[in-house]
Amino acid sequence: MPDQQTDLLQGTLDVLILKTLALEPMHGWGISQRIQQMSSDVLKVQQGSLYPALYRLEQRNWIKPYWGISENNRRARYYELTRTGRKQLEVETSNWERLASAVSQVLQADKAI
Amino acid sequence: MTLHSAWLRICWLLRRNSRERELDEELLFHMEQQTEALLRTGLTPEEAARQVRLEFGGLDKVKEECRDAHGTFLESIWSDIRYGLRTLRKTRVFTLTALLSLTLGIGINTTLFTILDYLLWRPLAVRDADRLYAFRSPGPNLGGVMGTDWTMAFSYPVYHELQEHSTTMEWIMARFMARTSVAWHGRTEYMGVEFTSGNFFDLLGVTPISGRFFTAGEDRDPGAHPVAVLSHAAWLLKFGGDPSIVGQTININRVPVTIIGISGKSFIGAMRQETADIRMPLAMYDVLGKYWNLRTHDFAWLNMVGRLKPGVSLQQAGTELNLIYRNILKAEADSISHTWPMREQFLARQIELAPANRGVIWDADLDIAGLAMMGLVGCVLLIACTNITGLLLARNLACSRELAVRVAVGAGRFRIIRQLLTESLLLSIGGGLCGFFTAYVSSPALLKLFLSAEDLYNFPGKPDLRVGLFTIGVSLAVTLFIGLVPSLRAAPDSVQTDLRSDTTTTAGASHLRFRSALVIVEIALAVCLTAVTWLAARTLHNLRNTDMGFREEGIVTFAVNATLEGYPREKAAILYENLKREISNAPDVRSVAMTDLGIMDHSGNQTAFEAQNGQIQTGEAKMYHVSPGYFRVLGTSILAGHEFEHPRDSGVLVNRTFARRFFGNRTAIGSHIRSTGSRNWMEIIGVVADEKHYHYRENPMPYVHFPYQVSDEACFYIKIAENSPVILSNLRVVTERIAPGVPIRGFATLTQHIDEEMKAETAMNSMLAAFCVLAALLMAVGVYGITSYNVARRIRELAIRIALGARILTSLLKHTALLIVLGTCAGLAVSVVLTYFIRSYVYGIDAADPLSLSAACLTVIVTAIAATFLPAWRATRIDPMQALRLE
Repeated sequence: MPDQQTDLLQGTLDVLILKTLALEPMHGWGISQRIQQMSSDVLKVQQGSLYPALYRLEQRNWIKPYWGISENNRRARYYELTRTGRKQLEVETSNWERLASAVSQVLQADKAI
Repeated sequence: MTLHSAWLRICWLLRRNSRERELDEELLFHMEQQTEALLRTGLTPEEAARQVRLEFGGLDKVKEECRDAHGTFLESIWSDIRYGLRTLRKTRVFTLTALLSLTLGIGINTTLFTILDYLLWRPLAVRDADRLYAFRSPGPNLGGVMGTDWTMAFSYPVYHELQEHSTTMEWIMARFMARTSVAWHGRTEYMGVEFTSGNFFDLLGVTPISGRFFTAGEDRDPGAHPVAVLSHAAWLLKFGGDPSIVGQTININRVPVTIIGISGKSFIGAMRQETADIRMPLAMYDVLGKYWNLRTHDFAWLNMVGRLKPGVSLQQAGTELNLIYRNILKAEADSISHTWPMREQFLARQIELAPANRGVIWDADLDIAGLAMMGLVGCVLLIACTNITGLLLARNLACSRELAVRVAVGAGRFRIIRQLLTESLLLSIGGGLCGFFTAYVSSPALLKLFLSAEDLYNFPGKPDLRVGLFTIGVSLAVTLFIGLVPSLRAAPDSVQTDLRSDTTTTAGASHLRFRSALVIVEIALAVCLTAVTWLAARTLHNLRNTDMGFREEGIVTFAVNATLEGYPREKAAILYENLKREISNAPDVRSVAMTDLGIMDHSGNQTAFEAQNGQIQTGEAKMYHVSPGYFRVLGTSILAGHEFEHPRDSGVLVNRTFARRFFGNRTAIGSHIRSTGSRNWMEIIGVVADEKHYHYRENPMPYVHFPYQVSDEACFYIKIAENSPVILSNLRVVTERIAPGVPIRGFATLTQHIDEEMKAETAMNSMLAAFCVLAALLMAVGVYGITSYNVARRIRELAIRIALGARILTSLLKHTALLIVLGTCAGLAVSVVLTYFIRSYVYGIDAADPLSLSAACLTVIVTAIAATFLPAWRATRIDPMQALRLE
């Protein structure tokens, strides 16, 4: 059902990653699966854009990588949220909510007319 | 860039390979997980793999984006460097030209800095040099009638009082330099002995390389401790470098003295301009000196250097010392019973403290001269840099489309500026390295032109860390100078303008204007440098060729001092008289004369004189004692009266300046003069021409010549029939036979003696000339470059005009002619200002000497026109058809 899946808005991937990692540390593939799962398969993370995003967040000191063992006993690079990352998540969340409500307000006004 | 991200970047750079592996592993893990997940949905392995690859897009692109996300600053610097090296390799002629000019420019700057730093600027290699201060106290001496300079300003009792009572100075040391006669292993030689207070070595915090230094205890009782410390250079060059010399006894002024130690190689004492062979306790001067001792109040003979206590300000120390000093002066002035006209001036004397971290330098002008020389070589480098700036501008203009394209595909303006600057940095690093090497090779050789072997001995021979830092500083400055403007101008503001515009017209015109300005600066700098060189050359010529008041040809000179070897002055006088007679009987000798103070030995006693010419006229004059026939031997003309003919003649001779200053138009012969304070009037029996007896740079000053009777040292002048080495060695044999065991110095022709005196000045002149030639060449390169560019830019127009039969040479020359005129005028204006600062060095001509200035302009103009002519002439030979087809 490709038409049901939505490409991510630019910038929203960061907040989704942060949110995912707020629950528990996770490796890259796990993050992409989790986002898809949590959004009931609506949001699909472009594999190609996930890793640059992770590196960017690491660069900003919002997440921290470490090598761990995956569920199927493989060495995998895990990411966890840092303290500044947690704060950033709050900021981004409230930003998103403001944006979303503003957008939906506009869209509903359109419906009323 | 925050600290954290910078750290990550550095980690990435350092662990580049492992970081890449980690990224591979991470992505591989993802792909495998994804493949497995897809297999679970029932896809075939091939289909699953294909799907994963599709989802990922290009793997390399992802990796690149990951690296980018991590920041690329440091890596991009590395790539800038590689890119820069590639570009420089591609434009080989440009690179070689630039490197060569920078090597020469930085090389001569570093060389000169090495020399000047060694001679003048380097701090002393002693403990806490920055808290050392030299004492000076200008004013009249006790009972004296004239002011003193500050080189010798304190008597021993004054030193003792200050050292005892000062609480702001950690130590104060005193020293005095004396020429002594040293007898060792059957040889007798003049050597410089520095008599120092016992705390000298402690104060400076140095250690001996062998034996020990004397202590304050050995400096307490006059004459009690005959001990001496050899300087490293004297030990090697005069005492054969045998370590067993420590403990041996030598005779200094006939007093047996034990050598107790040897000081280190880099130790030069506290005086920058005097090198001592031997150091002895000051208390020994009581035995070795003759005319004054430690108890003498009215002879100021000591230099003093002290170290400030930590935490004490210079002002506090000055206040405290002057408080003590005022009491001393008061007590001393009161000890004079008769009325003394200078009393108030004497009491007003103050102690001034001058920083002595690099040793005591008496001649403050030396610093200015050094800085002026650095400024001149700086100009040479500036011209070299200006050339490279012009070349870089042209190069960047040629690739301005490429740069515009790079901006179009997303390169930032800053990024492009940085990359262009990297290139300049590479050039100046290359030039800096080569320049440092040049200095490494050339500075010891050049220093030989300035210094005697002994002084040279202390020179480490190679540039060191200080010089290295200087070179690095200069190279960085060069980078900014040559790179900043071209890269700022080259980096396009916006994409459209540069991609659209035709670079050969609008940008070319602005480029030409800018480069023209640069060439004007170059020409102006070259004019300044050439003007200074011409002034210096004419000065040297004047110094060597103006009438010195004597004829130096065919004269041999030497000096002996028998009083150092224990002869009383009367006996010494008899010995000198014998020597004179024996020499005059030697073959090939025409005549002999002697004086107490040698020509151009920088010695001359100056005192105040009174003349009776109606009223009493007073003024200062230098005094020399000359033997009968002295002026005949030296060829000095007698203007009136006659010179001394017999040893017992009475009266005095004065020189022309004396006669003019004291007697004006009246006749001096037969008048009477006396030194102020003396009762005896002396008759003037002759007036002689002005001669430069004291220093080759001296301006005519009043002299009084007394008949030679006795003196410590006797300087001989021997007129010989013809100049040959045999005569010199014959004369030495005669001298050693008549005066065995008496120290002799300077067996040489008078010409050699004067040349040696002028060694540093001559060396400076040759260096200046070399700088000037270099500057002119570099300037020519600049002019050549701009003319060629102008030709290339207008080639289409020129071709058309040639095809139509026009003469293009004049039109091409017109542009450069304008630059030359503007540059020369600017240079001339600056030179006139410059000459004001070097006026004290110029001799025999005006500082703004019209001849030198016009010669400078002419030199530069001719060079510049020659440089213009070649490309312009080549332009006239353009084949119009070919040129137009190329366009």
